[in-house]
Amino acid sequence: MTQRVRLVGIALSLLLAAGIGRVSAPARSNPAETSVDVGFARDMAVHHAQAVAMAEIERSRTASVALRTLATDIALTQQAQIGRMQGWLAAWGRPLTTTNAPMAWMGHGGPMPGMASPAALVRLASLTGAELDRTFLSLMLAHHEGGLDMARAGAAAAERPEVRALARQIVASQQAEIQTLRSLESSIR
Amino acid sequence: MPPSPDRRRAAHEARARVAAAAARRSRRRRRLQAAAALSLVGLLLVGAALQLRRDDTADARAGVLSYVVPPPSHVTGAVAYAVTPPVGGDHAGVWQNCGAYDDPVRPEQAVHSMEHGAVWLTYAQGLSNVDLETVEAFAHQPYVLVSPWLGALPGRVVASAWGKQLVLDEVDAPKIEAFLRDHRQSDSAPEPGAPCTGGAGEPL
Repeated sequence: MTQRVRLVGIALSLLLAAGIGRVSAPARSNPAETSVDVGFARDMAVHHAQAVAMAEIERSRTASVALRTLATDIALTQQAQIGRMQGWLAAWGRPLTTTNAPMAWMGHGGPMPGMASPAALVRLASLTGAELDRTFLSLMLAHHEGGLDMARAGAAAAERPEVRALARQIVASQQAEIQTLRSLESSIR
Repeated sequence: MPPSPDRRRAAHEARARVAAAAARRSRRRRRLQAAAALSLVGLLLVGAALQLRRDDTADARAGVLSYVVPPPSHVTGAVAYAVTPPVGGDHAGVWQNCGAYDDPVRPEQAVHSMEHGAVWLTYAQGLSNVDLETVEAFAHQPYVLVSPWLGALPGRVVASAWGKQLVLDEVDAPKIEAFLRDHRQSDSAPEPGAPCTGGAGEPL
């Protein structure tokens, strides 16, 4: 083999290796069933779904324009984020749901923080006027505080950068929304 | 007649010199090949490292300015924004529905739209009909807000997203498209998935 052929061969194999490296990097193995990523995506989707349910109740029953707008914002934003998280689970080949108890990925079992009981939602749907608005705000505040805990844990421990990024965005936006909820709460009293 | 011993030795030495020169050339070629291979690997590593910084420098090269926006609050009333037109910050509780408007929109509402991932195209007074049509055509796309700006605008048309701004001295459709591609509903918008409908305003 001539020297030139050898040199070309070396260059080509290096480029090939680089090409393989670039292509295979995105195809890293998907997060495992027991990973923080999967646990966070599943549990946060369920947590968000209750916020959507409460917001929908408020949106359809409140007389307050400001609260109707806020409820619309919460419902649509959190529903879209459910879509994003379930999209990940589907792409990872993992079932969207589990029959196991939630929160194992956070290191402890037990119910998700800040969730309202089913009875509380039934009661909310029976209220009107200022009592409806006050109850909605109180439930949503507790819900956000719990969601904040989960999102912080996801942001700290998830292995995928896109999962950590969404978790960080949830932390930031729900922190801001807590301030909005508190100031609305004090204006109703 | 066979060569004399002297001639044989000379020939032998000549061959040895040739062989030594060939060996030196061969070693030099191998060293050059090794250097070339290492340089190639080095370039690939540097290229990979530079790729990580691509976003910032790509923005700067495209003339897009980046701003750090502190965590925003919902407020009532007017906000004194640090950047004109604003690229984020405190905002109204209701967002401006995306689309095109003939009249200026409240910046506090448009900022809420940008929090949801919308791009806000503001244009100066006195745009030609052609330019106006070009800018307003972008409002057919989702998550685009188009409105005139009263008062001094730093360019003829300005494209703003949360924390990002491109000031254009003329209506340059390809540059606006590139801005939309890079910054509409991007990771820098604080509320991924939030809507640009169901808010305030009736677009054209």
